Amino acid sequence: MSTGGQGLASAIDFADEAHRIAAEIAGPVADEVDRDARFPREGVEALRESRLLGAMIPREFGGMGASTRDIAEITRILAHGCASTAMVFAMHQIEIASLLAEEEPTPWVFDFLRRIVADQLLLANAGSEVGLGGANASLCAIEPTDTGFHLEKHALAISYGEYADCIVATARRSAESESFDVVTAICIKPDVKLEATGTWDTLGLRGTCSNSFRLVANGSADQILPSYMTVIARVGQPIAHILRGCVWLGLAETAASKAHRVVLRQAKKEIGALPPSATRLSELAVPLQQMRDTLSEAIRDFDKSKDSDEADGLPYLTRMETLKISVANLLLDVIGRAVVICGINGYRQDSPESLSRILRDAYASPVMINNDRALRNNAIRLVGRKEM
Amino acid sequence: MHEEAIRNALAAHGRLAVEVPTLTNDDDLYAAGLTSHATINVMLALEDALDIEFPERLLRKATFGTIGSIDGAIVEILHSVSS
Repeated sequence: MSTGGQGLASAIDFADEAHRIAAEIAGPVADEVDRDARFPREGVEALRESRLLGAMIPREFGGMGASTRDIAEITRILAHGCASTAMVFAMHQIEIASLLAEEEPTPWVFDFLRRIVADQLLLANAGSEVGLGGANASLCAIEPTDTGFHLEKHALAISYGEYADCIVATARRSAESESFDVVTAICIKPDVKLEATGTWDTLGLRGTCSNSFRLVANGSADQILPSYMTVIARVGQPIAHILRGCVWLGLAETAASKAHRVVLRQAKKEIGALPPSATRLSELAVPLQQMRDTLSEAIRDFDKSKDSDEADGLPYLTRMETLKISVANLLLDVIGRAVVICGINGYRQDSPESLSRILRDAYASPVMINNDRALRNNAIRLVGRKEM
Repeated sequence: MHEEAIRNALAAHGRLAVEVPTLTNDDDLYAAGLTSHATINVMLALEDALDIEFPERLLRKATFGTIGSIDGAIVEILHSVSS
């Protein structure tokens, strides 16, 4: 296990299952998913059948009690087959981790966790908003009704919204609330309707189907969770950086494997003479290992700090933001090196070493949760900090 | 109590959604719109006004949650300097 296993028997099963899904189910249709910009339904269905959508939920609610590291491993391995499948899995688990971090979970939340496991519900996020982007603020507001709440939101993007069972939407607490007074509304189909208002025709990660949507939802008051702002900083954002980072690591490993195959072929052509590409591969191994080490250490720090006072502190928040930037930069470094090593075979669309889809997927890494936003957040923190 | 310095810093840099004089010392400043960026600026203004330095261990959300909690931190900093 490249991000460092814990030696649990269950972790080995998780990895085996992820390898099987990546190699036999998600991988074979990855090019089709990419070409048609369609939802990777085969991979997600396989995750559902393997009960992995509820893996992180504790056993007391019927889940598998998977650790952060287990989920990270599954994500990384899935990306070997199809980055869109891996990203859908990652984004779903980010929602689960945030639910589990809810400060004062109600009986409704516990029941919802049981339901996620029993029905293998797929959760999507509607945090961004037309007119605001991805800021931790909202224009739309929760409207109270006789039976609970009503919400209408114009979301900039809801990844796989059309295919998810539940949409976790942010909104102002009430029509009178300020833009920063944000709560989370768990919107559950069929009580949430989505109308696509924009397309998703991108360079890469085409299977996440992150269209813009107009969302109209109704639900009970229990479905409003009040501690969004605390949970997003302590858990939501760090786990997003970790699990998205595992998608990027999986992509980097796939590019590295292709480069490795090219080098092995060249080495066999003239046994005894070290091909120049072998030195290039040796250079590629450096940022690849840095990615693994960076993520492994981040998972350790996340697990250590997320439930303690440290998680509210600037050192932890700064540290988790650097993870995002490191992994994005390292990925592009690895991919760039793989392109040079693979040469024309990597550049072609029709060779086994083609890097086309991987390269296009990889360029989502500095763009999704933009590096500039992460850098600005840390610039502000560093102005206040006394130590680096 | 360094209430006046804190209120001045909040008025100048807090960018709150409410007028500072309407806040009690126990009101939640984050609920009043204090962002993480504004928190840093309030802290820098207080460091300048009171000639103190907030150490790393106090750079936590809870420290800046209320006027009272900021005052508690300032008292702690001044105490550790004098002792």
